[in-house]
Amino acid sequence: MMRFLFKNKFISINLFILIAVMLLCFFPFIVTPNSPLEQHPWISFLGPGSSAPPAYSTQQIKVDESLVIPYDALKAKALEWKIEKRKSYDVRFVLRRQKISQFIKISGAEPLQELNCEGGSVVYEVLENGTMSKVSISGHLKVGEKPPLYFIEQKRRVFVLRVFEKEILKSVLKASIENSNVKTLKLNDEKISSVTVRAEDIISVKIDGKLVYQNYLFGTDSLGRCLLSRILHGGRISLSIGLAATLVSVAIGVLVGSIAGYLGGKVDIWIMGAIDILYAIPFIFLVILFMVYFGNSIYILFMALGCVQWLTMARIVRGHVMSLKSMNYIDAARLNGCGTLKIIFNHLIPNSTGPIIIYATLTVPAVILEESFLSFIGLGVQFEGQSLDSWGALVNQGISVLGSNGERSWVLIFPAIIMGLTLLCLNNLGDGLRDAYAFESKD
Amino acid sequence: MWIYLLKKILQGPLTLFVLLTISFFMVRFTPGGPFSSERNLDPVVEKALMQKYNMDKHLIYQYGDYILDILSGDFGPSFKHKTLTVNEIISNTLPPSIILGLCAFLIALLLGFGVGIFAAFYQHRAGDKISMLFVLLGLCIPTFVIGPLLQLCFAIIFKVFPVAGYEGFSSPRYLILPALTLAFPYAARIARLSRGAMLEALSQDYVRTARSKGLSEFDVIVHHVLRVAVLPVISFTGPALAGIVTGSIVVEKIFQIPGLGREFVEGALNRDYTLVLGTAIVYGSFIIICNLLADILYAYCDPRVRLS
Repeated sequence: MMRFLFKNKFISINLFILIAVMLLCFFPFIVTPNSPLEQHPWISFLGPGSSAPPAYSTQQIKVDESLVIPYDALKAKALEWKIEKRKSYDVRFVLRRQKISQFIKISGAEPLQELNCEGGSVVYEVLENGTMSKVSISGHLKVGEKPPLYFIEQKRRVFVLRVFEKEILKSVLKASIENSNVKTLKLNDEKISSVTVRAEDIISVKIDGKLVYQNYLFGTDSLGRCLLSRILHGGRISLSIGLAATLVSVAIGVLVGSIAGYLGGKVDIWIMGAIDILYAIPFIFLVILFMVYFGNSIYILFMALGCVQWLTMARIVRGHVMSLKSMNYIDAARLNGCGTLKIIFNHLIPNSTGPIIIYATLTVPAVILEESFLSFIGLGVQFEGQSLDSWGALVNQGISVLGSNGERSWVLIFPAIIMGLTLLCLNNLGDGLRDAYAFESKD
Repeated sequence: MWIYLLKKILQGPLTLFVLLTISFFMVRFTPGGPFSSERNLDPVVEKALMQKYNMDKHLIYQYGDYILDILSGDFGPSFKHKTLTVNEIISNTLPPSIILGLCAFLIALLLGFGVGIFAAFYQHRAGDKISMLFVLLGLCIPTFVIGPLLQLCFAIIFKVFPVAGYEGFSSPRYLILPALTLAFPYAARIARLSRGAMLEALSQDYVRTARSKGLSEFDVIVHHVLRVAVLPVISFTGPALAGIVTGSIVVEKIFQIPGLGREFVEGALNRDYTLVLGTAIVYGSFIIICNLLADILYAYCDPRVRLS
C-alpha cells in the first residue's frame, strides 16, 4: 500500500506539506521567534511582511541594573533607542442628560471648561479593557454643550479621552552595557540615571550600531500579535483536537463495529438500528447540548466530537469484519478454543487496520471543520488566558475585522489558507489511501 | 418492498422519540436552570415560577406531560421570551429557514450533479481537473469563510446581489448568496459522488453494448448511465439535508436572515428548555421525513434494494 502511495506524486506532495505543517506547529521557533501571547496594540494590523522595532512592554531602565529586555544580542556593548513622544493627557467627562457636565484632567484632578482639539492634536477614547479607539473631534468641546453624536450613541455616561498634542518630542536614548548591566545612560547626550521608556514610543532600536527589527511575516492582528506565530500555535490546538477526537471515535467505533460484525444476528440488528437512528440526528444538537451541559472544557470537546463521528467508523468496521468472519484462520482460532473477545482483539481488529486508518485520516479534517464551526457559534474552547486560539477561532476573528472594502484581509486569508491547506492534504491523503487499499485488495 | 418501506416508516417516529428523550434529559440535567442567570430570586417567587412552568413535579411526570403536549401540537411557553410561546416563535422563524434550506438543496443537487457529470465526461482532461479543484475547495473551506468572501466579492465589489437580509419569497435576490454559501460544501460532495458513480457506470459492459448498437452518446448517458449515477446522490440526500440544517445556523448569522437556527443557538445558550426542544423536534422531523422520502425514492430507482 505504501509503495502505491508514494508512486503517486500528488499524494507525496500532500504528505510532505502535512508533515511540514505539523512540524512547524509543534516547533514554531523554526520560522518565527515571536510569541503569540504578547499584545502590542500600537502595532495592530500591520500588513504581511512588515517589520517593527522589537519593543516589549513599558520598562524602566536604570544605571547599574541589568536590562530586562530579552533582546537576542544581550552581549551587545551599545544600545540606542530613537524615541518619539507626543505630549498627552487624559481627560474624563461625564454626560448628564446628553450634555457634557464637566471635564476633569486626570493627572492633577484639574477641571477644565473646554477641550481644545484643534491644531493637529489626535484624540483617542480609552476603553475599559485598555484599548484605544480613535475619535474624530474637530474644534472645541465645551462644558454644557452636546458632544458629538458618537458619544450619545454609546449608551455610557462616563468617557475617558486621551489627547495627544501636536508637537512631537524626539529624543535619542543611548545605553552602554557591560556584563549585562547598564553602565551609562544618556538621553539626548545628557547623562541620566534612570528613564521609563514606553514601548509604543520607540521608533527604532540599534544594537551596536545596527538597526534591529522584529519581522512579522504574516502581519499582525487586532492586538498586535504576530499572526504567523498565532497560526502555528493555534495549529497545535486544532491538530490535537482533531487527533484526540479521532482517537475517541476510532475507539468507540471499532469496538461497536467489530462486536456487531462478529456476533451478527440479533446483536447486529439492534446495534445497526441504533446507529441508523443516531445517523438521522444532526450532530449539532448533540454537540451544542453536550457543550452547554458539561461546560466549555477542551476534554469535553474531544468527547463530544468523537461521540458524533464514530458512526461511520462503526459501519466500516462492521462491513470489514463481516467479510473477515468467513476466513479460515478465524475458524482455526475458534477450534483452538479462542473466546470471542480474544478473536476480536487478536485477529479481527489487527486485520482491519487498513480501513480504520483510511477513515481515521478522513475523520480528522471533519473534526477540525466541526470545531471551527463551534468557535464561530461561540462554543469554541478558550485556552490559557484567552490568547491561544485554534484555527477556527482565528478565522472567526479574521472575519470580524474584515473591512468593508477588503481592508485588513490578511487576518482572514492567512489562517484560512493554512487551515484549508491542511484539510486539503488530509482529505487527499485519505482518498489516496482508500484508492491504494482498493487497488491492493483487488489483486 | 412493502416490508422495507414499513420498516423505514416505523423508524422515523422512533428516531424522533429518541432525539426528544435525549434532548429532554440532557437539557434538564444541565447545571443552572432557566432562572438562575438573572438576579437572585426570592425563594417564594422562584417556587411560584417553577409551579407555573410545571417544574416542581418529579422529572418523569414532567417528561410524560411534555410528551402529551407534543402529541397535541403544543410546544409550551418559551422561558426567556416571556410573551411568546414556542409555537409562535417557530411559526415566525420557520418559513425563511425552510425556503433557504430547500433552495440550497436544489442548488446543491443541480450544481453538484452537473459538475460531477461534466467531470466524468471530460475525465483525464482539463475539465476534470478544474472540477476536482472546485470539489476540493468545497470540502476544505468552512461555510463561514465562503459566506463573507462571497459577500465581499458579489455584494460589495460587484454590487450584483444585496449583502444581507431577507425579503421573503417574492424577492429571490436576497436568497441567492445565502443559498449558494449553504449549498457549496454539499455540491462538492455530490459532485464527487456522482463523478465516481458515473465513471464506474461508464466502464460497464452494457454501456459498451449500447454504444456498439449505435446509440448516440447523449442517449447512452441519459437512458442508461444517469440512472445508475443518481443512486449514490439519492442516498446522500439524507446526510446532505442534515448538514444543510446544521449549516443554516451559520448562514443565518452571516446574512442576517431571521430563521430558526439563530433561535436554537440562543435558546441553547440561554437554557430556554422548551425552545431548544421544540426546535430540535422541528429540525429532526424535517430531516426524518426527507430521509424517508430519499429512501423511498432510492427503493424506486434501485430494484436490488426491494428484492433483498
